[in-house]
Amino acid sequence: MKRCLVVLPLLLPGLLGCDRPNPAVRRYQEIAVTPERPVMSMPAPPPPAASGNPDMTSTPVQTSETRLTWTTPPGWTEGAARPMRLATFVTGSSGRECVITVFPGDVGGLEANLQRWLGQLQVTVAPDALSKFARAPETFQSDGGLPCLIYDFAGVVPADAAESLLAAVVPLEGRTAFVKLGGTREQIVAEKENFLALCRSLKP
Amino acid sequence: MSEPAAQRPLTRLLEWLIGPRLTVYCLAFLFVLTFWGTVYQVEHGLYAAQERFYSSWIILIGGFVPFPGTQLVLTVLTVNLTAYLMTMLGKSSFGILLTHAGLLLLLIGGGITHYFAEESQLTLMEGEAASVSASYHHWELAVWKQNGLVREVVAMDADHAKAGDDLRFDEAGLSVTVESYHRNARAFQSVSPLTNAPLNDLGISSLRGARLAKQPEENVAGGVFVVTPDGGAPVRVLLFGEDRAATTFVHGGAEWTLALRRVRTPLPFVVKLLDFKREMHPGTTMAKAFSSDVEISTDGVDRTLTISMNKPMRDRGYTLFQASYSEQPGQPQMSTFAVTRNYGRLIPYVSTGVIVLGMIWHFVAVLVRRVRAKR
Repeated sequence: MKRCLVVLPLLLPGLLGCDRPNPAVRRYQEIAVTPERPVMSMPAPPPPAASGNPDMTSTPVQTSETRLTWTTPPGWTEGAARPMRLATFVTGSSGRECVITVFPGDVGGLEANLQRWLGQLQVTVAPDALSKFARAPETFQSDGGLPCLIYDFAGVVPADAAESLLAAVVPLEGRTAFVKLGGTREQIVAEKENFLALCRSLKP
Repeated sequence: MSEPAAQRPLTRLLEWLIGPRLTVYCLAFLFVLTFWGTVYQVEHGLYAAQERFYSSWIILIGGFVPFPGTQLVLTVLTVNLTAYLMTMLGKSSFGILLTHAGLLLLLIGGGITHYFAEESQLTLMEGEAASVSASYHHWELAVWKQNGLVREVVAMDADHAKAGDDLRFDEAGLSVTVESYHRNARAFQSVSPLTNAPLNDLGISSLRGARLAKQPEENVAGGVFVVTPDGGAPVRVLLFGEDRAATTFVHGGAEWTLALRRVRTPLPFVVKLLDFKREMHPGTTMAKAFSSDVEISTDGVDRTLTISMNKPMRDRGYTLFQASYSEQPGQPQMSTFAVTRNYGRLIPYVSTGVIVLGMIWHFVAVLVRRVRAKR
């Protein structure tokens, strides 16, 4: 009998060795209440598709609560709304896209953003040159009183680079809006006036 | 009469199992494992050391030389101690038995904590309320429908997702195929937005896999998923674990949200952060003390209390500890709570008490015996 008792603990590792079941599908209720806070937002999304089986690519996707409005430049087509991409435009002459995005805070600061975009263009710029570039944007106030800092990367991107960028940085309350148009130098030159017109039309 | 020859090896094994030699071997292995794990942690991080040395049954040195892991050693020690107790019942002094019983209880408590304790965290900004906590390093693909303040969530574990996996969310009428998945991903936006970029709430156009971080809570999962609603066209959706806004779509007359996020644990109450307070050391930016005033809502009953660094909140098996906080200019303060549910929480206290009681009992019994012998 005593030996049987001694053998019993041998079963213990087997019992302990059983991992907890990890269910493939879990269903639960979640309550999440987020307080209102000053944030930027996109225009109200278009109404849901009327068909019974809406195509999700054209389905409005929510982002934020307040509004930023603009006027679409002539010849440009505004595409479907996407989350956090406040607006997507297709330019008339080249068919390239121009996008407005908004991020919380300053997204690491002005020079960090310029550096990141230069990296995406696969262009390396000396720190001094980058600081000089960051300090010399074309600036104006939009029709809605928003400060716009315009950076034409043609000034820092080598002449033989395949792509360039035209960007606007628009500081908002607690967030930053970015307007970006990518393309070849020629495409950007052709659309620069429309790009500036879009920036000037921004209203909170 | 002597035992049959066939029973002798078994007898010897049982004697070895209850013998003190095995106890000494186990303690020696634990010493080596503790030392080795501590050194390993310096280079590889706490989590990797825990996984390799303290959560493992066998460690393969160099990939093929086996060495007992802590789980194996502790299990053998548990067997050894249990067998000893069972065979020594009525033979050894009560104090010795009580001390060993306390040690056994301590080992069992460790097993319960290891296998059944749940650990997660809850981060709230002032004014925010939530009824779920988030895992430190496990991920889920979640789909939910908002019903007033309540989300009806269906979630699947995503830790082991791989390209080609098919997932089915019946409630939402969605089929999801994993196109790519990274346990740790870096997200990129395209300078020139792509026309065929997957749907994403932040305008992220591509993901790249990154090396897993030493601390797994630093990993951010990401993947591209092909989402096909019943009767609808497939759509490529890019989900990144740091998305600030979830991707929402309308299907079947309801609005559904899709997110790749840390695994959520439902809590039996709703926690609302009312106010966060912190006190700095004079002339420094180091926090001296911080605390959170919270409102706990359970079954329609609200109560207000303060959780501070040495004053956790306990309710229905869950414990909320004040863990950390975050402050950003112009934003409400945020407070983070460590959330634990440990069924064996009290066992270490009880077992320590039993051990102390056993030792005192044994000491007194020996003392009395010697005093009587002198008389």
